[in-house]
Amino acid sequence: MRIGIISENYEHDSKALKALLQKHTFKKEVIFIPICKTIEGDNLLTTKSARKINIDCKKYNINLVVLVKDLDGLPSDKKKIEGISSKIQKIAKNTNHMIIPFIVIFEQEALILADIQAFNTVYQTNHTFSGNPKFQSEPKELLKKYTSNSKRKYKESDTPEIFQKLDFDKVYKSHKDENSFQSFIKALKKAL
Amino acid sequence: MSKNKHTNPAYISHVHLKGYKSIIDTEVELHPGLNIIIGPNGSGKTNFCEFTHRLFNFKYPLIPNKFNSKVKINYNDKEFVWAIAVKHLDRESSQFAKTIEEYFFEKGAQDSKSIEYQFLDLTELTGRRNKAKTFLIKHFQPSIFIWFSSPSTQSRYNETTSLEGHINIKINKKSLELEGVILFPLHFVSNFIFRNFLDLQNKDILESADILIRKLEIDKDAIRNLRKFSPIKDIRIGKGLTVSENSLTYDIDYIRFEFLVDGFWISWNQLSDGTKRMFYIITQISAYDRGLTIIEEPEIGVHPNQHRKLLTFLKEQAEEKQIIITTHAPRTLDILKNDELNRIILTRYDKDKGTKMRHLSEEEIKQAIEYKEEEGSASELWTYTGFFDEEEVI
Repeated sequence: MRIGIISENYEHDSKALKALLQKHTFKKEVIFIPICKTIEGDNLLTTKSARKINIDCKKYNINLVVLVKDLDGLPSDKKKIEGISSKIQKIAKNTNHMIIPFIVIFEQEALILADIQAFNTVYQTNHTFSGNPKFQSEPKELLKKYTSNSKRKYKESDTPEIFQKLDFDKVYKSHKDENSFQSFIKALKKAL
Repeated sequence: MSKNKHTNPAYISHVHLKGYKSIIDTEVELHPGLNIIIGPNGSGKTNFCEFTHRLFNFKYPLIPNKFNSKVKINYNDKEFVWAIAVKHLDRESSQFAKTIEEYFFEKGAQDSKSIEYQFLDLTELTGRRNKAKTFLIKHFQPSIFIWFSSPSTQSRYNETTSLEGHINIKINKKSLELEGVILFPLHFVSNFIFRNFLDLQNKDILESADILIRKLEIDKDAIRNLRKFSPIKDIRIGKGLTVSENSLTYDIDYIRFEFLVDGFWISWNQLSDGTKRMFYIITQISAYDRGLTIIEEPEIGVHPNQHRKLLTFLKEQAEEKQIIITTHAPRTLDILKNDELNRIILTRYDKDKGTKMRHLSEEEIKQAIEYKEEEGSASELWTYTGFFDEEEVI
């Protein structure tokens, strides 16, 4: 099965999620393919994305699509979650393919906090994170702070490299409940 | 960018310039991070970039009673002024000095009667590695590089060379300074390759040529950025490098760079022009933690897909540094999110007033957001709807 990944940033977000999902063994054989390179930032949730998804799905022979969107907010921001969900539904209605949404609480960096050891390996640091990553506001800023005195500084474009080192099970167990990595994986498995 | 807290402690917040080519009297607000200047050919984008760059590097030509500049620098939410104005330039001064740099060098800043100024110690504001205050990356990759002497002396040699040939360098044993020649771009040797070497404080470490060779390390940040954002996946120093020493200097000869592209190690002259330009931009920006970089039309010679990657790089780097780019590619503006559209600066040339610059109005931003919602991108709005037509700009 060929699964397309579309996000606000092809280079960082889509490639990073692909790296993480590839670490898991699904019941069916799956190939993850980042698609829609030209979609960026705020352009993701516009209705034109549906057309671009259709074109790329045909081009890459995609069976279903994962759409990743940062919430830029905490789980308590229900209104924002509803707003994003409704825009994704609107896109889904205009595509010929099933879309599995993954609304990431705050931003993808929150997933890294679930396995800070992977981060430490990349930046040769020794940080610990004992909180619940779901409730960490601005995780990207926190990671930047973690490397502010390191030789190598955290950059968003490093996420594919870090995600490659993440422990899938640790992320799965840490990000549970509604609108989480766990609920996204369950929905994805159901759709396979 | 909007959701990131800019960590750049100092940035240029306001520029007011008078008296340089098409710039008669121009002022504009700048944001920390990324600023994008767009406007028709001949509207004065290049002049603005040159002026700003020359200003901080004291390279402004001395033209009496014409040149006046005031730049505000924001540091920790406090405003500092960097201003230079040429007032009554006497004949003697105009004969010995062609630039502000030469004038100050000869007369000394304290004795200046012809030039009014208000300077800051930018090194304190922008960090140790920011020895040069601004960088200007012009339209094309320079085909000929000028050889400079040690950065501290500023005097020049007449020799020229390019990366196509090999490089020979001498390092003074006592001062640890590069002696003789340094290759342009200056950062490439002084910061990119020799950063670690020059940072060494313990002179005893340099006991032998073998240790020196091991210190010839290519900057890892630059390599990582090239790998992520350009076709160059690695750089190595080619075989044939020799190191010898005499009582005064270490001599490093035949430094030749090789680049890994599409799985093959190739020389500089085998890189495409677009790849050379990306190398130039990426290594230049990677070499500094802070500061202002001005880039003219980064899209030139670059494939649209690579252009997108380059913009992603610039936007990421702009979280820590101030970057001003000029462009003729509407696609460049698509890198901005809705709440970043105020980073667009429009330029136009008025025959009476010269170069004029302004930001999008609130109404124009609203229009652009609506267009993006409908079309998925505002590229067509910028290109075809008269958004930047001269009549409508000012």
